[in-house]
This record gives sequence, structure tokens and C-alpha cells, in this order.
Amino acid sequence: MMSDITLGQFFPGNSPLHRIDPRMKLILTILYIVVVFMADTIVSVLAVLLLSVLLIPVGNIPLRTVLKSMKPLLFIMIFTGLINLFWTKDGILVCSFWIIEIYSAGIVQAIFIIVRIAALLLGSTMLISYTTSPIALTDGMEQLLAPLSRIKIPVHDFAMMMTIALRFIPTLIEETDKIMSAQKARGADFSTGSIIKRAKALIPIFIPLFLSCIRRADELAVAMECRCYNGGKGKTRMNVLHYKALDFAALALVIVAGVLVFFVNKVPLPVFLLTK
Amino acid sequence: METAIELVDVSFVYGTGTVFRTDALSGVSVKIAKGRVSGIIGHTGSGKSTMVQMMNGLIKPTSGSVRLFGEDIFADKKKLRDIRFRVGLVFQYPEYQLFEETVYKDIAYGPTNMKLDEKEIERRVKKAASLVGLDEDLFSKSPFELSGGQKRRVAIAGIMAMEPEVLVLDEPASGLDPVGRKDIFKAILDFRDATGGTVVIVSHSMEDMASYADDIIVMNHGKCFVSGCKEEVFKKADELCKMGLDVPQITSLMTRLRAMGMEIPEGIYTVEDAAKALLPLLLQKAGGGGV
Repeated sequence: MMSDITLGQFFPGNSPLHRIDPRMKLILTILYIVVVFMADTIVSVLAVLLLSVLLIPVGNIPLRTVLKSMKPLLFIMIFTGLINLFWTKDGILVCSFWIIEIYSAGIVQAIFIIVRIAALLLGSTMLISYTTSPIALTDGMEQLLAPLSRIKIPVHDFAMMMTIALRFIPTLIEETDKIMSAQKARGADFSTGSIIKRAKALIPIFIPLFLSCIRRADELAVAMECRCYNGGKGKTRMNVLHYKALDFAALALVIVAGVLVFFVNKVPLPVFLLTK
Repeated sequence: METAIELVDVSFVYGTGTVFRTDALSGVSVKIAKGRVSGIIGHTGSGKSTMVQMMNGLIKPTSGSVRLFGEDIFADKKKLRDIRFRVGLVFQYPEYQLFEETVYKDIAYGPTNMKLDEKEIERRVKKAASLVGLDEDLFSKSPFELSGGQKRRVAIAGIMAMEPEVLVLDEPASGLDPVGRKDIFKAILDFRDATGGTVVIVSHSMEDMASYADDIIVMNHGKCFVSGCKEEVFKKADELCKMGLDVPQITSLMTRLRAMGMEIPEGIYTVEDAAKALLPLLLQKAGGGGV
């Protein structure tokens, strides 16, 4: 039931991808997106996609999981592909019927755009969603954005709020589940009747849930206070992040990929593979 | 003896097809006898809570069937709601599910869902409140103003007011002081005596089970380790200890005294029984000493 909802798509593991410093992963993701947009011929963008596909075995993520999570975005990919297919009027006329004319450049452009979206999604999810725990991610974000605190942006507070929110999502899901079961045991009925009746049926769930949220928040605040929490000032960490050789190797790899893409872009292509 | 609830070769698997796959229950077959108090005991994660949620159809077993007086409760989905009125389930920490403005309305929530008429609801609320020992002065109060023990009793009364044939309670006394515990168990036994219903109690405490249960089901790692009347179950004291479940302290004390050569009968689970068995022995000793 509700326990089937997974938070993000984090897949615990110990692969090289998992071990990269979260700060470096954020930087790498930005660089990777730059590389994807640098690739502007079909050959180079395919090369980038191949690269990101290789990340799947490196990160040790089951192929099925990856494909399943790409499914909701399939519609956007196909839709953009079709628009490009019909609206690009360049190259050789391949076929035409009624008002639709399909040109060779259109086909290439459609494939190009689909591959680009796929590469963009696959690479960034492999780097961030699958292999970085949400907590590590907020940690990395906080430290990357730390310089902003000099211009009075409460970076630490935002990060702490995000961490607490993430921490409590599973707890609250479990709590909701429990309260729903308990009220069902007393004959509550959530699935029949008019809209107003159904909305009213939710009161026995929301009131205990709100109460428990407030109770938990109160307990957490007291517990934090007891450990002398007073914001980010002077706070040290249990797990101090250090850049390791692996991080620089990953950085070098992405830069090399960028350079390669630059040269592959220059490779002359036969006419039918040109986009415009 | 008539069987109230029967689990037949029941299994339950969480998160099939993911890395988090766990077997909560595997191949459990147990019978709950009608009119008796059955205790389910076991460690955290032994499948107790999953098992009790199956008894009123909140969780559907992955395989196997659950029978209430012989009929499969999952046979007709539309009847599940009626099953929940016939098998009343009190969750752990039930006071966290209170939500109404007044104590009366909260106890009446279940009976109202049963579409009973005003008069019958009032009769049931009053009866349930008196069973758990709640004063009628409290009826107009908000349940959130009450003490922890009172809240717990309101929540339990809310289930009792549905007058279920089987009352199932998950750790009904956890987190209460000794007096509160006694009151809760007394209320449960009173309910059984007043309605002739069947009671199932989940608990960690062997002491409580020894005092209040007739039959005991011991769960271990999603399997039923042993079940039967408490005398039989406590005979396996050695194995229970190996599992990390203790027999009542007084029972192990009696076992040790017997090992030391005192003539104490087997099957002593409560301090009262122990006193009854020891007193004549001590008097005899005092007399034999030739005072």
C-alpha cells in the first residue's frame, strides 16, 4: 500500500559511483549537462549516451529499475521527437502524405533530440538519484553553497530543514498507514460515498496525524536543544568530506569526455546524417 | 472446542521483487479457541503484528487463508467491513488514534459506522465505558484532556463498543504503569466475561501472559514456534530461554527450587500460586523442626 512509495530512487551500494564525494557529484552533474549540450551532432550525442549507459554497470544498478523509472518520461521524449520529425523541413524529402512531409533532416533531428534527452536524464540520475543518499546530497549542497552564507543567506538552516523533512517522510508515511488501518478497524470507509462524505472520512486520519506531527516536532526540538544545537555556527561534522583520488579521477573523466565531444563534433558526416 | 479464528498455512512477504524483500510470516497455521484468552508472544519482528492485522482482514496474506468461524474472510471483499466489526482490533498505542471532540463521540465512532440507532449506540458506549472503568462524567470532555491511561481506556472502549465476537489487542498495556496495566487487563477479562467473546492479546511480557492468558502462541522469525495451553507451552522453558524469551521469573525460581530438591509441583506461573505451594512446605518445615 503506502509502504510501496520509495523516497527518491536511491539504491544503496558501494560502487565507485556511490563513493564519489557528494559535492563533486553536484559539480560533475553540472559539467555533464554542459557536455551533453556541447554535443551537437548525432554521432557525438550518441557517444555521450553510450558513456552514460556505461555508468549503469559501474553504479551496479539493475537495468530494470533504470528502465522502469525512465518510463514516465517516455511521453515527453516521444512528443518532442515527433514535433522535430514533422517541423524540420531540410535535407532530402523522404515521404509525404496529406499535409505531412518528412525530410531526412527531420528524422535525424528527432533521433538526435530523443538521444539528447535520454543522455541528459540517464547521466544525471545515475550520478545523483540512484547513487547518492538524500542526506549526503543535502550535506554536499550545504557545503557547496556555504560561501552564500557570507551574504546572509541561511544556507545551514535550509539544509537542516531539508534534512529533517527528508528524515521524516518515511516516518509520516508509516504513521499515516497505521492511523488509516486503525480507523479502518473501527469501520471507517474512505472509498465510497459523495465527495463531501469522503472528505469528512479523512478527518479521523488528519487530526491524529497533525497531532503526531506537532508532538514529533516538539520532541525533536527538545532533543536538539538537549544536545546544544544552536544553528550552524561552529558546528563540526562526524563525517568530514574530503576530496579523494577517485573524485579527481571522475572529474578528469568528465573533462576528457568534454574534449572528445569537441573533436567528435568536428568529424565530417555524410549529408543524410546532418541535422540542418 | 470451537475454533473462532484459524490461520491456515499463512505466509506474508513484504516488498516482493526489491532488495528490501522480507518474509514477515512463512507457513503459519494456528487456531484461536472460542471463548478463551489467547496470548501471542514473540520478539519484535517475529510477525506478531502482521498476524493480528490479518485476523480482521487489514492485511491479506500472500498465500494461505484466514478463517473466522470456518469461513474464509477474504472470500467476499464486500464483507470485509463486516468482518472488521466482528473482529475488533486494538492497535498498539491506540490513544494516538483519538480524534473526536468528546470522549462520548470517540467511543461512538465505531458503532456509528455500524449504522446502529441512537439508543443502541448510547447503550453500547455506556457499557464499554463501564467495562474499562471510565466515569460517565468524562463523556463530555475532550479526549485530549485526559491522562495517558484514561486515553488508552477510551481507545479500547471504542473497539469494545462495537461488541466484536473476537477482541484482538496489540500490546494493550505497553507504556503504562503497573496499576494501569492491571486495570487494562481487568477490563479485557471483564469484557470476555460480559460478552462471552474470544480475546487475543499480543504481548512481550511472559508475566502478563502467565497471569491472563489461557493459551499461548509463541512466534519466532515469522513462524509459529509452539502453540497450546500455557501449561504445555511453559514446559518448553529451556527452548523458550534459548530464543531469548523468558518464562515468568517465578516459574524459573520454582524450577530451580525443585532442582534443589524441594517438592514443588510443576506449572506455577504466578506469585499467588507460588505462595500457595510454598506456604505448606515452609509450615511443614517449621513444624518438623520440632519447635
